[in-house]
Amino acid sequence: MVLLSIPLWFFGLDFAVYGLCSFFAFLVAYFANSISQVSGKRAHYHLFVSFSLLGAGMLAVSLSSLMVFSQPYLGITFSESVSGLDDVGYWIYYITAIAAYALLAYTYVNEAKPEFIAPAILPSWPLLYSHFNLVSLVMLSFTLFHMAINFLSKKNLNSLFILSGFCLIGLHHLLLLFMPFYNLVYLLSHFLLLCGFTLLVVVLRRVGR
Amino acid sequence: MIAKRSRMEIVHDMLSVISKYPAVGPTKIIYKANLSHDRFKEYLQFLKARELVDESTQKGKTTFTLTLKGRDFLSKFHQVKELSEAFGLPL
Repeated sequence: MVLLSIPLWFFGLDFAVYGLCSFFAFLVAYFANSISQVSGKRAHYHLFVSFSLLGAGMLAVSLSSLMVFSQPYLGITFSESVSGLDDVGYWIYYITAIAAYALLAYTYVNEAKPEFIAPAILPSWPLLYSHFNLVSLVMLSFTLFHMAINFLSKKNLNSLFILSGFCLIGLHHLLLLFMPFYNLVYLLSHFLLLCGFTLLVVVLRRVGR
Repeated sequence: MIAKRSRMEIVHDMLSVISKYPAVGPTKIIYKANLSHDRFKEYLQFLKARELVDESTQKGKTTFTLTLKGRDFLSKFHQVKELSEAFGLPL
């Protein structure tokens, strides 16, 4: 059973991890929006929409987790509808994250070769509902590939941080695939997610100086 | 080999030239921003459409000045360039 692989003390704390990641994603979205307004480029606007979607999804998980796990401490009865709320939060996150990764993949594939957009993105859609993390990995692989090429051509610290940030987000999804088999994978994967978003914010800090 | 300037970089070069003078004529912009006359006209339309420059004519002489929006563009350009490059997006 999946729930047994998650350390008990981490229950309820994941709202903080998702809350922080959501805040970081909104920060990236804010910067992307400001550069999109200056440049007028569609790719920058896509970056803004992608990170807004990611931020909104993670905020939904964070808030729903907080509500569910704060019930016993507030002395309120743990009802079926409240535990269902956590599922709703995760479903919002699944949908927004897939949309965000797909938009990022579309943006980067579109920049490379427009004729490869449909074949590159369509085959992973049938897997959507059953394997969220697998679909996320497939979507992220396009972005990661582009980021790696970008780093090899630019060879600067900012592009390295962005590549590392996306690698860690990808690793988060990869590790979650092994959650039923290994203890503490859930904890480690969330730590990597937080590190990934932190690296993206470090780049914003460096650029905004 | 010198890389080809992107559209944004050409706009930045034009605005940089305009920002250095209280009012500047087209010849100076063409010369300093290294543009052909056709390119200049094309980009000028873009700058005027986005209200980045003001055009005024006095005694038959046309001059250009930078608007507040244009100054804002110049100040944000480096941030935009660095972030675009970091994310591997074209400028």
